[in-house]
Amino acid sequence: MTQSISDPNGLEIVDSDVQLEPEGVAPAPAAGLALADGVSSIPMQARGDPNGEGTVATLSLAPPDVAEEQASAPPIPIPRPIPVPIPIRRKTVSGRYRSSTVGFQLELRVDVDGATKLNKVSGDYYSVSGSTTAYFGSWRIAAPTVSVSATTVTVEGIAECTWNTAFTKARITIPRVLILQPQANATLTWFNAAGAQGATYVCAWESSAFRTIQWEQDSVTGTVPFVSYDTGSLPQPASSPARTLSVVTAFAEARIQLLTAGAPNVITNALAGADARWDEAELHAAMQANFSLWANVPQWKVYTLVATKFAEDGVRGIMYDASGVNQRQGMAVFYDAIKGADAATQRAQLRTYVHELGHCFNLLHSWQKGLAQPPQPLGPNGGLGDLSWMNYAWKFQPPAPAPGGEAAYWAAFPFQFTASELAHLRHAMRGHVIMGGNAFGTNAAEVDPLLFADREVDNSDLALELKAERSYLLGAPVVVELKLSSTSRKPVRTHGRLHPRDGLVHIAVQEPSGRVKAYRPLMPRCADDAQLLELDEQRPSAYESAYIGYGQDGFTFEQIGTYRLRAVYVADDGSSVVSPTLTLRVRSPLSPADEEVADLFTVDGQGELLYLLGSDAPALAPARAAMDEVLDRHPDHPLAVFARLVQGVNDERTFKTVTSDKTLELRSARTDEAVGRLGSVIEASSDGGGVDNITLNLVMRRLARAEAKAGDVDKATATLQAMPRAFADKGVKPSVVKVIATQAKQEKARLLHEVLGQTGDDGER
Amino acid sequence: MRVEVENTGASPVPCVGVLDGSESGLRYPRWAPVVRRGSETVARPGPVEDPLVGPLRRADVVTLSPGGTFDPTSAEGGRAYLPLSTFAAFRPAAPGRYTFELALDTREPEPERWLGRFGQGTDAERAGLLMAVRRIPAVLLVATVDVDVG
Repeated sequence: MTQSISDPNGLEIVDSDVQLEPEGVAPAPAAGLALADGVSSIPMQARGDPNGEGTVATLSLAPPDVAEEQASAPPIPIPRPIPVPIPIRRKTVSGRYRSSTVGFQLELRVDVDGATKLNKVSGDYYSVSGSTTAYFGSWRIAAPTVSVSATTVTVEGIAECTWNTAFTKARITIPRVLILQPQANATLTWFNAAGAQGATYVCAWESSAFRTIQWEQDSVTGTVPFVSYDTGSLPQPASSPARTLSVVTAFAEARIQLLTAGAPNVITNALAGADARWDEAELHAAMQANFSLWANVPQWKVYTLVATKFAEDGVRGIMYDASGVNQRQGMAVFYDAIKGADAATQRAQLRTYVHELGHCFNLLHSWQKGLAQPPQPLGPNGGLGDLSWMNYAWKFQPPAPAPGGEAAYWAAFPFQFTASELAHLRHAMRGHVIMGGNAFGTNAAEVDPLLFADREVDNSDLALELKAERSYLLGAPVVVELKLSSTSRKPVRTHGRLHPRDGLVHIAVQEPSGRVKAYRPLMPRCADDAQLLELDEQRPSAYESAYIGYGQDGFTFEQIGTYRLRAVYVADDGSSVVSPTLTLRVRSPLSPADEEVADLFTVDGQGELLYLLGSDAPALAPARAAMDEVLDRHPDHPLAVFARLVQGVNDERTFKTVTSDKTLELRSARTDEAVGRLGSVIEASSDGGGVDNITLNLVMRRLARAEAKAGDVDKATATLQAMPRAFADKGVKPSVVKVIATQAKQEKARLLHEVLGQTGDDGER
Repeated sequence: MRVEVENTGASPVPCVGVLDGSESGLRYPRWAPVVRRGSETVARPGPVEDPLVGPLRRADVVTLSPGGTFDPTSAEGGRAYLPLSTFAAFRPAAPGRYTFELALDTREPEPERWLGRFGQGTDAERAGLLMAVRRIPAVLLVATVDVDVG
């Protein structure tokens, strides 16, 4: 037996735990019954119960022929019984199957018969290793060929898979069993295009439901969760039989099983805040606090909160978990907007619950499907004509001349999802439907590759450039310089928000593995003013530097290898100016000291400390200790300058800390330490090493502030006055040196005002 | 009911048609339709169901040159514009004079309230859209038309 863990379809043999019945051998009939010939000529019947009722076969029950036994008896005319064909039922094969847990476990969903069949099959693979199981990938066959014999249902087709495999042709065989027999196993065999056989999976019957979800529901004090609605209470279409529908049974009709889970808690409305209205953040916090099954991972678990009212008037419900990484885990309904005991209100309540839960499965509104990523086809009249839980009753508008609106919707709505929605619920790739999977409305990649592609036309008159060192020791802070230039002879006015934290410059990073991710700054901020600048002959470029070694997703450069970076600047007119690709390399530690320093620069919290340029936060104490250790044990290491930078900048500031008893503590600036450390950074950076020029600019100004705070205003003034010369000596362009001179002058004025309370025309003493 | 917006000024004007949630007042621009018969309101947008309104996209922002027109309910050109359901579903119950009124309100100081709740695309796309929204003039325009039903 050979196994390849990279392709579950290519395995030769997978499962030996489940006994497979040879193809073509009929299952043992139920006691006393025999299958009549000609069964296979009876067409499949789509009728009745989706949970089991299926095709009909005929059985002839013939009594013993007694004529010969009674030959000697007087001939008494006995009416010969006419064989009566008694229909027997065979089970449908549609439902969920699962292979045993050897190597790869397969969840197989067969959807080829029964009243609501979609003629599709799909599956999810789970990689089983020891006692851990991890999702591997999904596949589906959109339009398989289904053939039914007297004994077997065979399904064949080409699968779309979420991973690369040559084995995409599937054949599934399922013995047909009588209604009283247990469901038979389904056997899936993969083939490649040449017909070579790949893996075979034998899957035992699991459920008539295609998915099973644990559903936890809590309510806020004073609200009453919905129970059920009798669809016969009000007029409905003839095709929709009267039945009692709860949220659970409404999904069961879609063959999605909701298992109620967790204790139904009653939550105080105080969590909604002083306004007693719930906004999305409060709902999310309530979910995290009360959803006993909650975790920030994809999982088949969903939460409902019956709340009082939403922040905006009239809203009936919301799937509030539509941002962040693991979305769609919770929804709420707002009792004040939906309450009422009359039939129409109960009917509308049912619709709201099912509708919002539909969003948790990543179903969009009927008219929104064209907005999905990638877009999905819309139903009739741009989707407004869908008779679906996901349409709005008042927006219902079938193609003209049929009437639309709420009355028309309820007159025609059969209390169900559309076929395409059912296909999504039952057969979408796992990440597209599971709660906490793909973002709401999308199954797109993390980064739109087109965003960072070269523009075919660029008339923005602007150019963007990224600069950095060619290589960095593992653990070294990666700081990039962003340069925005005019490409026009005429002055160009634009905004000067070049730092990624302002949200108008975005940086894509291609890792050594080839994976592309967007750098997300740790603390994005709103740029309230445009910081307008004019680029002209006097000032052709603007500069900014940004530490991008750490962001919301952790360390950006934690692997050794070559990285490729591109940035995009969003101009005032919406133009996207894309930089050329910058390549940088992260290299291995060469010495034990390198290795130790790299370790110290990557301890927990170190990224935050570098991003913030120091902090007194108690949670970052281990990171501060690591910085101390760098300076104690490796004071001459090239990366020690960053430890001095972080400590020096933090020493210079007054730091506010909120203690555990909610009191505010102020730590005064440690000016002596700041002067010493920042001075060392400047010294280390004077000969081509140390920090980049833009950071050096910041350090010199911070040093001047520390000196001024220490009372040595003359020294502070001298430090600032030395700035232009220092950068000119480093070979910085005269136009930039001129900007630095202006910055130094402005800083001097600010210092005099803040530290000494002096004012002046231009800050000159 | 056909709707047309015309730029009667001398400069180009960016504008956005009826987006998901515009008719319910859940997002900007707001397009508020109402039908009246005398002093009685006989049709208005239905209840706000949920706030999960779709994204604003670059294609949804049209720039009207002076004298230019567009139909804010037409999805031509890949725009995500929607028909006004209030007008589309309205059927007069009795003869009489009906007044159809449509108000366009773009007076929202926070451009984020134009963007919708999901499908926001990349940060760069979002930033670009905010820039575009800031250029849309803040106006309240109201149009009415009377229809006699015999």
